[in-house]
Amino acid sequence: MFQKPVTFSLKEQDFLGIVIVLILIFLGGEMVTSATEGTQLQNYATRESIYIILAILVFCLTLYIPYTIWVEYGYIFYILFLCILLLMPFMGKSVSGSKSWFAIGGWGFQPSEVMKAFTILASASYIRDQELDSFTLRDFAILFGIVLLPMVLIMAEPDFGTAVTYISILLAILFFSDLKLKEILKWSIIGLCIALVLFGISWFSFFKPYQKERILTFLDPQRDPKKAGYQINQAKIAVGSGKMFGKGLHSGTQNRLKFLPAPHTDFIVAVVGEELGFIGVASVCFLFLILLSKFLTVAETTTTREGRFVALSIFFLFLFHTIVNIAMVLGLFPIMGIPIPFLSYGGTFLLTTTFLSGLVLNISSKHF
Amino acid sequence: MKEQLDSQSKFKFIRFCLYFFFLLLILKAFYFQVIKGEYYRLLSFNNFTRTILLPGRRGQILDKNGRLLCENRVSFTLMVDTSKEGKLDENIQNANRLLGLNLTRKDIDVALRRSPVKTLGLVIRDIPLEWVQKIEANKDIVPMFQVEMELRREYKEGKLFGHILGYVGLITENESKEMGIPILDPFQEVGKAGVEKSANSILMGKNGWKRIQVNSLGREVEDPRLKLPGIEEKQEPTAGKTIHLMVDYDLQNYITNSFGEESGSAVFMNPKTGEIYSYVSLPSIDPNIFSRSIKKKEWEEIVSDPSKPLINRPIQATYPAGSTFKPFIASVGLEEGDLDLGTSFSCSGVWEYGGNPFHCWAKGGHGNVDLITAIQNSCNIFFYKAGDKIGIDAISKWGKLYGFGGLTGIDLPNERCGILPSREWKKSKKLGEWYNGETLPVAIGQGYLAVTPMQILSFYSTVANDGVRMKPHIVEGEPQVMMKVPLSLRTISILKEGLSRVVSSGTGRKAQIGGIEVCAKTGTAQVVKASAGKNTYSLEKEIRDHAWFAGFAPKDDPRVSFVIMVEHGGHGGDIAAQIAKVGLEYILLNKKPEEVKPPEIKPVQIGPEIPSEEQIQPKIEEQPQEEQNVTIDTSGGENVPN
Repeated sequence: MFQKPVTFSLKEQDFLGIVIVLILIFLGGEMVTSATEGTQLQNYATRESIYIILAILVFCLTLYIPYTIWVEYGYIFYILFLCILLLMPFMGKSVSGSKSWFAIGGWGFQPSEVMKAFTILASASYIRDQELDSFTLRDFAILFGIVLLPMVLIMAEPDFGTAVTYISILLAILFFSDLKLKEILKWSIIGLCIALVLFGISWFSFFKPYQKERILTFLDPQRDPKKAGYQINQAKIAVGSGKMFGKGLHSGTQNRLKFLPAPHTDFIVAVVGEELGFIGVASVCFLFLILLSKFLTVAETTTTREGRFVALSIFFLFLFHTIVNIAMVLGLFPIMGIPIPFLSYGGTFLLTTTFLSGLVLNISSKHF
Repeated sequence: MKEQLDSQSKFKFIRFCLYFFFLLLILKAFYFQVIKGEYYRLLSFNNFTRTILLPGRRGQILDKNGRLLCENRVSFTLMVDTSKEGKLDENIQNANRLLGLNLTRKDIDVALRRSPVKTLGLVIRDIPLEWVQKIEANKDIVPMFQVEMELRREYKEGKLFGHILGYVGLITENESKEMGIPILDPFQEVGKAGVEKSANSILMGKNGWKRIQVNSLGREVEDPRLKLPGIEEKQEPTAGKTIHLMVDYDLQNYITNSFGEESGSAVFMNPKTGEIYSYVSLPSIDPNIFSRSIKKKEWEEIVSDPSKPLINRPIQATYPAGSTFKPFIASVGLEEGDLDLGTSFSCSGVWEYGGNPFHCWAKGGHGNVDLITAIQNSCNIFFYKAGDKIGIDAISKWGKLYGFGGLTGIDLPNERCGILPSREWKKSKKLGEWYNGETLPVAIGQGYLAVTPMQILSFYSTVANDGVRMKPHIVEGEPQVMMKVPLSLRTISILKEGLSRVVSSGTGRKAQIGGIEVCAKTGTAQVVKASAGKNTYSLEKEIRDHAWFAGFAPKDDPRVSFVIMVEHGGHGGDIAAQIAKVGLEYILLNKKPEEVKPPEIKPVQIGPEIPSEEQIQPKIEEQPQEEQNVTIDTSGGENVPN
């Protein structure tokens, strides 16, 4: 089943995609520096530079190594990380009530982020081994099982925000299958209903009060302007006050004087909006639009089944992160701890997202 | 092939969703940043800047000789600062234990709600120094409590200058409009009464302000990397000016003491300039109680005090003028040609007018009396007849010129007008037409007439100053003419002759001082009709007559005019004349009264006051209502013995 070894060809690289990824990574670094300078998080800028160097190394590596190798061995890592997730309740470091972090000598590591990549790869390797184009009920059950297993474990950490992002992989499976669009929509709605029921159960069993508060505040932002509403209001003020051209890099008052909550992670787009203005926000949206459009084209045109699935899953994952995060900053969505790829601070997340985008660009380099 | 189509339609749908979502986000960002950008820019500016008021230090108040009457003292205020690290409830508990207080979470919430700065609240003003030390020494257990320095008004002489100085208080919205001072800081203090109010613009100085850059915790940004250029601005405050009063501390002290336990007014003035040497209103109030936060209970005690200490009597209490009004009637008669030096009326003790008997205080009558004798002996029948001849129109016309029924113009706030009856006044009060018989009691200072002691002083000062009515002033300043009353020198000399005889051989003999001719008139204002014809000293104190004594000295070159009004003081020639003598001897002969004890000055009590929700702002000007006289004015004023 091994593909013939191929040589890495510089000519066949998708340069536009690579450039966009690099621009976003560096913009993220700059924004994180601005958001943490002069605060007790000052050393985050140094850490971010280390992450960026690592991310670029990972990026180069994924561009160079044929993606088929990842698909081949993906399931091994999937099983390994499944075990790690199982151990999280015992070994994890508790951060605001959620045990989603491993502490290794002062550096944090988030298995639930990396697991996204291996869930996609494990699903892809299953799809590759299926000869037929049409999906049986058994196929759906296995593929959904591969995704839901880590998702439930992450929910149990509990890390609501990260778990929700796995829904994007479920969507990718539905769209990848031979189901018609109408059926997909039908099943999505059925799935949504099931999710709502589960959500209702979760609400009364294991949702944290702060999570409930966030959702309630989304439904009624005036509910408590001092707490959860405060974050939304301050984010709106930050973005809005940037006006057309922004207040200038490192000059955002909302950001630097700490009016903005979590400016270096979930609200990094608010920093972009404040310091670089509408031009900045629109540019970020535009860069993501081109990149995602590219991912979608890869998913549409790649010849191998597993390649198409990997690209489609990553497209949905990135789409979910990007849309939800920006919508949240603009007050269109509840605050739910979903970071934006490349820009938000977080080593594991940055490495995972650059790895995944490298994977898609590897597929698109057409040397297969 | 069909599958191919299916797949294509799916991708078309996904691509559509992709573009749709991003378009939505960009449009929303455009709305926030471009359409509503200016609005959010302002909100963000308000977020990170704070304008702090720098109060202009209030000016000091000194007496005529430079004695300090009022200054600012340093006071410490306990503040709560919730932006500090720590648990509020724990902090409150520790503070209660440390200082022996009983603060609750509710008290703190109230303090925070009333503060212009969300995280900073004023908990207790005027805390003792030992608390300050305790708080500073125990920062680790009460990190959220801090002590701020404030300047509070301190009135050195307490009650002695209570009604002159007034007091200060937190500015209200009405005062803000009235004085044209914008409320920048709800803790801004302004004068509420007395000189503090009338000279507020001089004393208050000009406020400065400072704009600082703050972080989300409301703390000033100190890190130079975080400071934005052009944000920090400062306008230095200007301190208020020191003012000098024309009042002499010693004289004020002697006059106050000579009242003993009596209530009333005494004002001594220079008739040529309007400078006020002494201004006494008794009982008085200690303005220091307003400098602290006054409690509702304390305030109610003052308000319900039957002796009404809040009333600034010389300008806010109105009484019947009694016989002190007779020289005014004489002057009107002389100027209008109805009376002359030779005019005489016969007094048989009673005069029938319109079927009613009008009595003289001397039951047997005075016989034939001329003008000067009538003033000297205060003959009622003479003035009834004179008043009838002069008529109410001339009385009200001339009365206005002296300030009756109007303002004397003194530089103290909330002066009252009293009543100068006239045909128009009676109509406007819906009391009907004026009857000639109603002029008679007015002519002897009773009837509808209601005057303040200051108005009586204004008349005597005008006569003393050859018809030029000066604006009375407590605060040092240039003399100002209020009115030039067209009095002939002849009239003045006739009045002076009559008035000097009152003291030399009439009812005011107790005011005689060696070597100086004093011109004055006694007066007795009836409190209730029951007193008519009875020996006033045999009556209960509350219904005893009020004693008036007003005049000027020396006769030929008057340097001082005065009015004394002792409530329920009996005959004007007794205690009122004695008080006048004390003042005249001090001013004209620099002679100090011997038996006067040194004043008892109570130290300013510094005690903690917890401002509660119930706390109220005292408003002295609301107390005396129009037409609500301190005394009961009776319309039938006959038989007033003098």
